[in-house]
Amino acid sequence: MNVIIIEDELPAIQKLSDYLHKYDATIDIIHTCESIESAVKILGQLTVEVHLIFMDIQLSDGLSFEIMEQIDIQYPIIFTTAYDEYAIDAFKLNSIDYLLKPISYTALSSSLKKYKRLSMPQVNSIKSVIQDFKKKKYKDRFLVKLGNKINTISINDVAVIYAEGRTVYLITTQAQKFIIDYKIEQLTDILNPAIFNRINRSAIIQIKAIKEIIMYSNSRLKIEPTVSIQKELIVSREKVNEFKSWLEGGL
Amino acid sequence: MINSVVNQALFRIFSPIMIGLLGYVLLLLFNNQLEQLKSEFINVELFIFIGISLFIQELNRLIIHSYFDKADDGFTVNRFIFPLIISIVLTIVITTLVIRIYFMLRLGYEPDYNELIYFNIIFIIVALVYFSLYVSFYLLERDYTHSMKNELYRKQEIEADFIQYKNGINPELLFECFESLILLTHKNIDKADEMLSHMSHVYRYILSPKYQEIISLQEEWSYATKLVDLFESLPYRTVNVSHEVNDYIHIVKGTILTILESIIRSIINSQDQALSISLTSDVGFLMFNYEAAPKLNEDIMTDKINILNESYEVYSDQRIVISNSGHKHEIKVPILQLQNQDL
Repeated sequence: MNVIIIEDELPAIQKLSDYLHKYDATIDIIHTCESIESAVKILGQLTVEVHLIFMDIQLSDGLSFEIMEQIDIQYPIIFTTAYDEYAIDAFKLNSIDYLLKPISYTALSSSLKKYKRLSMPQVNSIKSVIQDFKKKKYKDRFLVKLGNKINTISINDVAVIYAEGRTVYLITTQAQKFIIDYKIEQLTDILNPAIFNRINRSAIIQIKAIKEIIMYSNSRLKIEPTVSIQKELIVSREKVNEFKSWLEGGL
Repeated sequence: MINSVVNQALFRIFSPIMIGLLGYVLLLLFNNQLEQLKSEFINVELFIFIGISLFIQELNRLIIHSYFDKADDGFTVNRFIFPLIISIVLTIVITTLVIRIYFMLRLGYEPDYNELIYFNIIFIIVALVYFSLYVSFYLLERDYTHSMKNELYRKQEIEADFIQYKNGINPELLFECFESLILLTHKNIDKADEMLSHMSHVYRYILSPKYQEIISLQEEWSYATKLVDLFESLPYRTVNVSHEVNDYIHIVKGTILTILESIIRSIINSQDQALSISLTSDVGFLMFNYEAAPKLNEDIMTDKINILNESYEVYSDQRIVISNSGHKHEIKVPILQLQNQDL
């Protein structure tokens, strides 16, 4: 069986090679590629039949999906990834085989046993995965306590989120106030940066919740939100440029 | 009430004496009677001046606090006009009243219009001095308190971020795993490989961005078993965890992992005696039951469980309850009720 490994970390290539040979000593690793560029070159000039490709998603020069955008790959692929669980969902949803790094022998064996099922190229499924990867996942709703039960607040209804000490409050566009189980730091990664901006260490505002921006002391900006809140929303000095750029649609 | 200089007893006693004295001298200057200072300085009029000053001082203090303590809005000039007018009007009323009473009772005639004007001008100046003094101190103190509160919040936010970060990294578990890996790579490479896989599985779950606040027991269970496997790879630990609970009950993300780790770390490890933890459910609660001797220097109520409790406070009226009876331990975790079970 001829195998190609597309992976930019040498220890990972070594480990995968060892496990492949341990699984089946007749497996022949005909090429290893460390970048998109080299992979495109090698896959484009192949003269021998390839039975399986192990492809790391994040290569040093970009996402390995770019290889498929440049050349048509008609071989079964097993993706390897160190991405978080939500990125992995894209594989699960599209029934694409993948191995989570660090790759264990058990997981590899299990994937190789399923290998025959992969004999048909999964072109459409891979295209869907590429789409899912390009669409970064953002949080779309918050869970809040409403009476004795837990309800959802759509992200579109969130006006301001701010912290007071250890407590983080969510203010809706209807001026309702809820406590949420997040730290501002955590929210920065999971809220859509085109809609939400962290104006200082302890507050995040939605673009539609800005009513007015006033020049404030010490080269800062003061935001008057569309909803009434008890906290002054001041854009910190170091965030002013980023904030202006965000308002102009630059982020 | 703020505790600045202007609110301290010594200032409140001596300030009217000084102001009253100055006011009295000012009146003598108005009336061109400075010689009186030489003949009879301490007289009833001086005490009346001191008395009125004391009254005006306390009046301004009261007006400013009763007016501004109610609202904590920003500084605007308009907000000071109303209390200032009240202060001036009350000063005029009190001054006129006291001076008239003094003149009629002590001197036996009514004060003329000019005398009343002089007295009122002097005490309006006194009122303005006190008003500006109290307003300045009030604003200063308010800004200081505001800054202190913000700094305190900032400190708490940084501490919370740090604890969150530390909990995510879980250095204790990380180093224990690395140490075990060092030993295992020399003895059993396959086991080391398996352990590394479990470790990455658990850490990927803990460290991945928190898109969901609440998850089903089923979802967390697969990671919990990996954590238990990880602990079993560490020396002197044999752990069995079983559950007879509906997979679709909802809990805060990380609950089972946090509680299992807290339990394992709070008991005396023994390779001979396996730690058996069973998960059951009671009305509205997920129950962790286990039997083991607790460590002498470690309490199960760690920072991690306290933080978990803070999360439960967001979604429930109930808190995590820990009860012990000898070597039998029980931890009750509230089951969360979703409005729409499909959430």
